Amino acid sequence: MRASWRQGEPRGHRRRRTLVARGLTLAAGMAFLATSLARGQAPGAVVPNSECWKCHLELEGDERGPAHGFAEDIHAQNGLTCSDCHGGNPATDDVEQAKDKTFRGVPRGKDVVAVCARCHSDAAFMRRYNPALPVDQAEKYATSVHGQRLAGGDTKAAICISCHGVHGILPADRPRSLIYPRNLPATCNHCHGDAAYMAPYGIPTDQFAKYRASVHGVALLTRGDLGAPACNDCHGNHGAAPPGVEDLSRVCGLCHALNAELFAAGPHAAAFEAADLPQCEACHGNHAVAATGDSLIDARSGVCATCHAVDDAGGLAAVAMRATLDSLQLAYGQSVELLGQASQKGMEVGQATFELKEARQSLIEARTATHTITPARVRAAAAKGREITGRAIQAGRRALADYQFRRRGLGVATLALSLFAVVLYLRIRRTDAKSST
Amino acid sequence: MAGHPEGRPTPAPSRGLHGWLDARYQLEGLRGFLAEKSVPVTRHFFLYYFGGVALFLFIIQVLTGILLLLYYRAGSDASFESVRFIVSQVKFGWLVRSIHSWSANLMALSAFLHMFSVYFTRAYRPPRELSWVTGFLLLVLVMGFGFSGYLLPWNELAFFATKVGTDIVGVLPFIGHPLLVLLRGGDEVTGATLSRFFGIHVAVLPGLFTVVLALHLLMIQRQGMAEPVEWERTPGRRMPFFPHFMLRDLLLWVVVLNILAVLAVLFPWGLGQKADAFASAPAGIRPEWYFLFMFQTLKLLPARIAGIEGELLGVLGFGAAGLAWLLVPFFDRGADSGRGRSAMRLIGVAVVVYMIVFTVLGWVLA
Repeated sequence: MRASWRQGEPRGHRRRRTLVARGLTLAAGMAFLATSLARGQAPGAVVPNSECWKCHLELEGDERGPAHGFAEDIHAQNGLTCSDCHGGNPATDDVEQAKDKTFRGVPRGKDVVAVCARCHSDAAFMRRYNPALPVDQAEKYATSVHGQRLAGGDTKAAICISCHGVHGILPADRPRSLIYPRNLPATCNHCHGDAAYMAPYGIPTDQFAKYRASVHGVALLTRGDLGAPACNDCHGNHGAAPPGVEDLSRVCGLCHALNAELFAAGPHAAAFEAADLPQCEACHGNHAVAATGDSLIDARSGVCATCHAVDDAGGLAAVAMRATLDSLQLAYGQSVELLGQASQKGMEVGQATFELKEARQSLIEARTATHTITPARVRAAAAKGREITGRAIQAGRRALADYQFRRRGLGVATLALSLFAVVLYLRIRRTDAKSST
Repeated sequence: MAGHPEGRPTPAPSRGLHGWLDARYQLEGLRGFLAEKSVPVTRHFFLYYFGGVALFLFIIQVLTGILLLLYYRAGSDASFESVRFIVSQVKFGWLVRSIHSWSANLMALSAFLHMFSVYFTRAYRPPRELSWVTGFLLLVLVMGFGFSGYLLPWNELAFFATKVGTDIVGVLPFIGHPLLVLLRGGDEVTGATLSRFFGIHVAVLPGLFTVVLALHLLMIQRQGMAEPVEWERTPGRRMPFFPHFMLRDLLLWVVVLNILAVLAVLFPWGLGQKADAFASAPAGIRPEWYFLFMFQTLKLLPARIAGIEGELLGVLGFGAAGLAWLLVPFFDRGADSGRGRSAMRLIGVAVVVYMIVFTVLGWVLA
């Protein structure tokens, strides 16, 4: 565990009970009370019913730390107080009496897990607060790399408070929580990105930098897409461990189910296993997984070239699959261009444009089918797209030809109407002239 | 056949089809009427044409409307698709729809110009008060055509514009909500609203319009076109209606038809996206341009004015203003003698400037 997470634990017994300070504390308490009543919450839910909290709130520096932020802590909100973790008597403002024989002080190292587990592993107890919350965190933690290292005496290993914080613990769905999906990578990086701290373990410390630039990182951290995976989605959270080579496709397959299924049915699954290659990672990488493109299966410069020559069976399959994808992509692009031009000219091509969505879907399916490494499967998936883009190109060309026809028609009609107008004008002049004579 | 009523020599009986019809329907009387009909020639002579242009565009509306009806199907799951079918699959369907849309707008413009030309020349003065009243009713019906027709393609913009437009009706006290439900066929704009608007657009309004238009034309034929007040002292020049004025009318109709063709081909009326009640409202919702000045005014009104809801006050204000405008011939007592010309002109200019400024604002700020 990092020392910094424990900063702010109480050490001294300095008490500065000035009348003014107590008045301020009372005012703060009343304010909390008023707020909680206004929100319809039980008064004890947000004003910790603890003399420890009141005294520590008056203190300064590190000793104020535990009290600061505790009011919004999920435990305080549920009516728990300092003594539930630290022991002692929270009902008295006398320090000596408060630190009675039940006082446990600050739990350290592996004791923290046990302190948290006292409640969090007790299903009957937890049911009173949040029946949906799992109660196997400590059990899973014991199987994790963190838990095993801690059990082996490594006090630097992450414990509960390393990830969840200490006195200001917020539920995971609160945007300010340390374990809120968008904050989680930074929380993990607090230790895993510290080269000096991680030096004894001999593992890289650039995961976060790579992740942040990856397709997953951009989706989660830049675009705010909470559906994108954070560290725990691949590594687990309480049972955190790096996935093994054989588990990798299952981990990625949690989200990319079809890709994993197609990969498992293709020739690469057995070949990778024999060569001890990590399944998805071998082509896509891990933390730095980039957005894929058709060039990925280029037989000369793509990932296929890592293992295959251009003219071997794998290289030829890559060439065939790439040709299918390029052909459909080209037809799709041409369709979009033609229909766009027609639409800009005011031609109605809504139906063809709508159908083109299915061609886009077909292209995605063909790209997904490359995981089978079977050109025939890729061609089959692309067939519908080719058919739709063929119709869309025809519709686009027809619309543009029709546009030209309309312009020519307009020219003829305008000319005819203008001639008629001239004839009428001459007739008016003649009629006027006849009348005046 | 009876002799000529004014004692002129009785013309020899015609032969052929004309003679056959004349024997039965006395066409000579009509010919005499046309031969004697004339129009006053003034310096505002060109203003007389806008009424004829509006009539010509109405005829185009009827013809193109009938053609559209051959393929149009009303319903939330059929309207958009049928209009798309018309503009993309039916031969010249795009042209028919585009002409229908453009001529509707040009007809509204012509009707407005016609109304203001009558106002500024004070042609509504006795005995033509009812010509003004029927003319104003025709303008209201044209706006009703526009409002009901706007929804028929069932596209996104029309859906939300109709929602906003019918919401405005709902602010009226007592009758607001029942009227809104009557218009929409429920509390929300749905397929039921579309069915009602379709019925109103193709049956109710055309029926009313035809009756009022017939009355309007009949009054004009009976009373002739208004002459300037000064002509009571010094009569001016007149022009025979047939063929002189009619040829000029025809020439302008050909020019308008040409403009309509250019607009319909070079700026075909777009179809947009199909209406989706669950989608968020698109940017730039606005009604047809001839409602914009009212729409923009209601948007700019404060939420409450003197304790009354601003929008309600605005709607009631427009109602009162419309009523006052309808009754202008009865208020303007000095019209026959030429008195109060400056005041009426000032009111007219203020109304025109207000409408133009708020229409432009509504267009720019939407």
